[in-house]
Amino acid sequence: MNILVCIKPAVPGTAIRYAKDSGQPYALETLRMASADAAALQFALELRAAHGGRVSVVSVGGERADEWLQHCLDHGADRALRIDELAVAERQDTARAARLIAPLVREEDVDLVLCASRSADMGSGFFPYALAAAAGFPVVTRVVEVGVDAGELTAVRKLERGWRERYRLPLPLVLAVEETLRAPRHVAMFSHDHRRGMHRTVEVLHSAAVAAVDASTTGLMAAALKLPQPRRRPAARQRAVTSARDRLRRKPAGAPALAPAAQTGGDADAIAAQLIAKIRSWLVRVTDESST
Amino acid sequence: MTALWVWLDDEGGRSPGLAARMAGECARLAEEAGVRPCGVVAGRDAAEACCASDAANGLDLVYALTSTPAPSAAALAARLAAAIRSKQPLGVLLPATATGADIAGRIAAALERGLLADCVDLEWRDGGLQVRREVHDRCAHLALSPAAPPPWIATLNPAVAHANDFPKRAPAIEELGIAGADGGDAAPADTWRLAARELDVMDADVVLAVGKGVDAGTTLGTVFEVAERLDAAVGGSREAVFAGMVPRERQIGASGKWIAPKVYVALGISGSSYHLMGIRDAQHVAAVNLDAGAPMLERAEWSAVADVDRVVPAMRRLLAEERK
Repeated sequence: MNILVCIKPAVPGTAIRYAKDSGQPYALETLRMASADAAALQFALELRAAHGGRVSVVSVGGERADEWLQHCLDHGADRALRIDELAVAERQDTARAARLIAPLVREEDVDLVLCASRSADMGSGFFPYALAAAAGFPVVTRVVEVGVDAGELTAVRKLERGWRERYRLPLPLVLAVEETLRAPRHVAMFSHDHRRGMHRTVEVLHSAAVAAVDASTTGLMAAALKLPQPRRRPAARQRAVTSARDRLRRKPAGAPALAPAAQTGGDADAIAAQLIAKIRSWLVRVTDESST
Repeated sequence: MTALWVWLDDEGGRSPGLAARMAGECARLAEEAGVRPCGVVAGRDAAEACCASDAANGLDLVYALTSTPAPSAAALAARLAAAIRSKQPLGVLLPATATGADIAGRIAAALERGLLADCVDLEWRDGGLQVRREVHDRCAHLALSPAAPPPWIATLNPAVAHANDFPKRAPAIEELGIAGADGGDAAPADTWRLAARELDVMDADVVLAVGKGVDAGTTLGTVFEVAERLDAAVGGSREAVFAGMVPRERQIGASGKWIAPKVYVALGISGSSYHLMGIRDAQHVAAVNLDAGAPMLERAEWSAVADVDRVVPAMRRLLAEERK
C-alpha cells in the first residue's frame, strides 16, 4: 500500500507573542508539526508494517519545513519531499498547495493520502477537500478510527456531541485524521541513529516543475493578525437578545449563572428529584435561548 | 436582485435551533448588503418543516434542492454546487459543524473558491464581506475577505451565531429540481452516539463530574448508569483521576480539560480554583456536596448539601421508574 502523508509544519499558538506597546499579536519563527500530522504519520507507518508498501511525506513551503520532513524520515518514512513554494507559506494558500500535491498523488500511484483534519496555524480544514477534488479521490475528514481490510477501508468520523459516522470506502482516497487517531511513538535511540546513518535527505521539487498552477487560487485576502476579541452584539430588533460575547463565554445574558443560589436540603430522594428536574429544565432553556 | 443563501439544517435533531440562528445571521447580513436572504434545504419536506417552525424567520425564499433525499454529504454538496452555479448567489453561509463544514469544503473545492471557514464574525463593510476567524490555537484572529468574484462560501461558528429575532413569517418555497448530481463518495454505513462511558467530556451537553466525595466502590458505577440515562458524559476532578476513578483524559480543570457543557453537575467535588477554571464556560452548574463550605457550592447555580452516595442511587431509582 503506497501512502502519502501531507504535513504542514506551522506556527503553533505557543509561538504567538503580543507587542508590548500595541498588544498586536505576531508569530515567532518557530515551526512545529501538528499532533494530527504526527498521528497521520504514525498510522501510515503502522499500515506499512501490516500491509507493506511505502510511506512518502510531502510538504509545500520554504526550507524551514525541511527540519520536520527530516524528522519524518527519522521516524521511518521512506521518502520526504518538499515542494518549494514560498508563496504558499506566506499567503497560506490552501487551494494552491493542494493543486501542487495532486500531481504527486497520481505519479506516486498512491493508494491512501493521509493528512490532518486542520492545520495548527490557520486551521480552516479546507486542504483535504481541495486535494481530493484536485486528485479526483473521495474524502473523509475528522477521522478518529480506521480499519483496512481487503482493499476496503472503514473510517469512523467524529461529529458533535459524541455522534459518530462509519464509512466503508474503496481505496484510493483521502483521509483527514484527528490527533486522537494515534499517539506518535518515540523512536528508539538505536533506530534513530541507524536511520540517521542512512543519510536520507529531503528531496526538493520546484513548484513550477511539479504543476502549472495559477498565480492566485485562494480567492481570499488576509490582513494582519489581530487580538482575539468577542463579536459585536447587534442592535436588538424586538427584544433583548443574547449577545455573541455571552455565547463565546457560554453564559446567556439573562442567566444568573454566577449568582450563588440558596442551598437545597431535604432527603436524598427529594434532592435527586430536584436535580433531575433542574438538569432537564436547563437543557430546555438553553435550547430555547438558541432558537429564539 | 442578488441573493445571499444560508444552509438550513438541524442535522437530524443533533443541533436544535441551529437553522433558526443561521437564518437570522443570513437575514441580518443580507439587510446590510442590500440583497435578498434565501434559505436552502435538501428537500421539499425539510423546506416545509423550516417554514412551519421559526427556522426561516427573516428569509424571503426557501429553495428545496430536490424531492429525493441525498444519500451523502458529498451528493448533497454536489447538488448544492449545481444550484449555486445555476442561481449565482452572492454567497453561501453554512454552520461550522462537522456536517456543515463537510458540505462547505466540498462546495468550495467544486466551485474552485477559497473557504472562509469557522468564522467568529461576519460583517458587511465597504461594500464587501469581512470575516474574522480564530487562528494559531485561538491565540489570534485573522481578518479575511473574499478577493475572487462571487459566490463566496463561509462557515460560521455556531457558538457565536446570534439569536434570530426576526418576526415569524412563512417564506415562499421554490423547488429547484436538481437531481442526478452525485459526489461519488459513499454514504455513512451507520450513525450512532457514544455511550456515556465513551463520550468525551468536551462533546457532551451534560457532564457529571465525580470527586473525592464519591465512593469509588459503590457509587461510581451508579454515576455511570445515571449518566447513561441523562445522555451525559462522566468526568472527574484531579483527585478522582489520582484515585483511579476516571482516566486521565476525563480530568476537568486547569491541568485537564476546559469544558463548556450546557449543564455541569459536580458530585462530591469541593471546587478548587484550578478545577473551577476548567468549568468557567459551563452554562449551568449544579453541585452536591456534604461540606456546606465547599467553594463549588458558591459557584453553583443550584446546590445541595447532601451525601452523594445517597443522592446518586436515588437519581438512578427515579430515572428507572420513569422508564417503566
